[in-house]
Amino acid sequence: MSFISYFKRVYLDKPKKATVPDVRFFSESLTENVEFFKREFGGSADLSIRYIRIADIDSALITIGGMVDKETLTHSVVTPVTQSEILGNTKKEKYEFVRDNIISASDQVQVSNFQDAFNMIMSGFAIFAMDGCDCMLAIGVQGFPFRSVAEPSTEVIQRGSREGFVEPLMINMTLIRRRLKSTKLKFEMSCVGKVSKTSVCICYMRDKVSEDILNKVRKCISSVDLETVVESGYLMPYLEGDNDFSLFSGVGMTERPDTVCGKISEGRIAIILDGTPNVLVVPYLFTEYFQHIDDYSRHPYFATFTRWLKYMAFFLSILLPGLYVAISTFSPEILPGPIFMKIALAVGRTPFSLMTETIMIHLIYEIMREAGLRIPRPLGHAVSIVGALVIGETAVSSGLIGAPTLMVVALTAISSYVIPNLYEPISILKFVFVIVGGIFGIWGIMIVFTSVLINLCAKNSYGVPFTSPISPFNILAMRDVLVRLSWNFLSRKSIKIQDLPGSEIEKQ
Amino acid sequence: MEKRPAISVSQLFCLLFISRMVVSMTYGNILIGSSDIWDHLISAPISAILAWIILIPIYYLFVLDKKMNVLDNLQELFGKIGLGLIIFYILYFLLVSFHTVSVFEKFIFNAINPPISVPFLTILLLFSSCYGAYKGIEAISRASGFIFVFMVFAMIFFLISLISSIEPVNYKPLMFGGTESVFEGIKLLISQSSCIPAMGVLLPMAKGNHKKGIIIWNSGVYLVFAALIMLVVGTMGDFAQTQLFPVYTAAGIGKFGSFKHLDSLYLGIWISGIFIKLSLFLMLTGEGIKKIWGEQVRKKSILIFGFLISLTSFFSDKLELLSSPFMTNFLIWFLMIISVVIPLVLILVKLKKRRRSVI
Repeated sequence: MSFISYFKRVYLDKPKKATVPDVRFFSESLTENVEFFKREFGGSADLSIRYIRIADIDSALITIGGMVDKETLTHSVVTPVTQSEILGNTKKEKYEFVRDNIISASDQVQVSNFQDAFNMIMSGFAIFAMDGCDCMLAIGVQGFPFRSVAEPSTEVIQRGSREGFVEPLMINMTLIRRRLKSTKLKFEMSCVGKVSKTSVCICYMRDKVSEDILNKVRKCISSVDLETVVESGYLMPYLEGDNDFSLFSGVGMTERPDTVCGKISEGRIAIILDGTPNVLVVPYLFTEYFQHIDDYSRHPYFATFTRWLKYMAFFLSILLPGLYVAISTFSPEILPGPIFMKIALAVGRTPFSLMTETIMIHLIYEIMREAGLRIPRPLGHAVSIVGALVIGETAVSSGLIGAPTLMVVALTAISSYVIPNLYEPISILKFVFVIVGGIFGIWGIMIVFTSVLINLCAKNSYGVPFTSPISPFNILAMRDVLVRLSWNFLSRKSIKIQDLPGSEIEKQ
Repeated sequence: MEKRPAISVSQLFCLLFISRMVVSMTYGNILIGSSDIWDHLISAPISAILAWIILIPIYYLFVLDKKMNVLDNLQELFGKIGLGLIIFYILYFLLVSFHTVSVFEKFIFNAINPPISVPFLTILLLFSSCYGAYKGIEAISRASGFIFVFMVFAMIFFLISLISSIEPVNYKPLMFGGTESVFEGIKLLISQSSCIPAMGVLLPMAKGNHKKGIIIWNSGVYLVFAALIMLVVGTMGDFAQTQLFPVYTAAGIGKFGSFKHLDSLYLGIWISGIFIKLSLFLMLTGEGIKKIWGEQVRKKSILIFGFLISLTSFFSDKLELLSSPFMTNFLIWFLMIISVVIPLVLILVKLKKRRRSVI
């Protein structure tokens, strides 16, 4: 009983809402304020406090080491305040004179409480404080090192921009703004993570977005109760919205600003998290997994061809191993004679059943893939050699596994990389289908396949059916699903995400 | 009133088409007995007209209040007695599920005889169907959209593959052995019209032109059925009469270029169709339960009913009853009560109440 109540408390009970910390305002004494800073940071080595005496008033410049550009700080703050004549009679007037006339940094905000000051200082601002004033100046002199804008390695294209998102949020916002020079483009800032206080930005087109979806996204983001948010993947479960289990995600992820621009032009919402180049897009439909920015710069007929290749690759990657096991084990009469003979010969020479053999090779492949991702690059070649020689060559020649099975697994592996964003469900489903195929044959595969279809069809992404526009069907939206029509047709009428059939969203 | 899930009329009738076609695809010796399958070509149009007539009360009840289904009307107009009458609907939907599972088992046992455990395959089917029912009408209808396309393409493929094997000599004169087979066919086709009571619950969930949907659906179902009879008899002649599942046998004969063994294609569509039909009827059972005992019980009941039906797979020899002539007659009477009698009474009471309120 105690275990059940413990389980319920830990997993099922909703967490209590965190109490909002009391806002502590600055005092007029610089010493008191600085002492509070020191106390809160617990003597952290990167907290830097420089005392300056300006017009006979004690002042301080508080920064976090490594987060500010020292040259900018010197030129726009330290030099002007120490070398200029400060006018004013009272301490307050002098502070205001410094704020309005002396500091030359373009980005400055006045803060009146410690919580705001902490947020600013940890975002790379310098805090300028003067004795006798109950407010401080946060000056934008950020200068932390970051990766330069480069082509994302996970979304390589043949034609088009080579720019990808980087870690700093502001740069990512610029990358979008540069491509959509519209006053309708809006960025909305907020903060997630009780400890990390990570900046998050919602980006959308005001004239395209559905207010209903936007409110849902805002609500989802405000419901994030994590202590630290260091990657956009942390937000995904919150953005998924419902608690229904689904193999497929209704939240898209991209590293390309041009993809984000295309999506938000159709009424979708992008969520940019500070510190990660992966931008989330909602709502995200199943058919979008098969669309790629490259499709739109190619000839329509070729884009249609590649899209069909992707659909085929998807079905191959989830069904091929299962069907191979099911047909070879239970319904070999379906196979043409020569192929059946080859498989039978290979199975006869190996010690394992076809299902065990297929599962084993898949597992070995998944282990090698995982190892290839984690090990240092110079060792990557070693893994490839081990994989190719030991698994590929030796295992077949020693008679441990059959060559047809190895070929099926290899084809499945290659097919699964055609749609990299679907790798997670594919890798699970192929195992499920192998097991079901090995126990229940093609009849079991059909039943489980229909269950997966139900799982797919039951999903809604922010009120939009996940399988739209195929089912529920919309002929206009189909121009970019099974085929990719030319831009002459695509540009005739734009379709917003909330206009898709079956959508529960109120029309704007 | 609670918020109803919304599907389109086209989705609804795709779903009902699939549910009806899985029955037509297993049409054969087990169901028809000694009746001449060729004479059922005449039964098809007559049954189509009869189906339209049977549908009138349910459609008219829906027209009177497009937001309420038969179950809502029963609750509103008859109160607690109405809730008791809902049990009839629950029993009918359960019986259809039982019947579908029994046909599935018979088919797997007799036509395929696979080297796998049929009861466990049935359990897998029911477990998956419970999942479909649990997910609700939107998920089932969307999935049926995919399966419908698959089914249409497969049928075209099937038609092309068999058309060259048709021997005109196989088409003997209709009603050669009298009119008995025609009547038998009508009885059988009407008894299998489980989609009509289902419409009583489903029509308010669909948006669009219902009348057009009903006309296209009913015509489509019987046209395809007639086409199947033409194909099967044309390719197999009297041999079709001896087959447990002649459509399946015909699929095995079909050949199109290098494509052979179209029975696998048949199996693919049929199993998906069975899944959809079972999901739909378990969901409808759950709707009835929800009306009486609420949402929480609905969720549990789907699983319980699924489990109970799956138990019968271990006693498959006792299920002979389900495909006997007695069952055909029983299904017709049951269908008449819940599709004609109860809706007619509801219409009368509703109209009377309306008149009273006007006065």
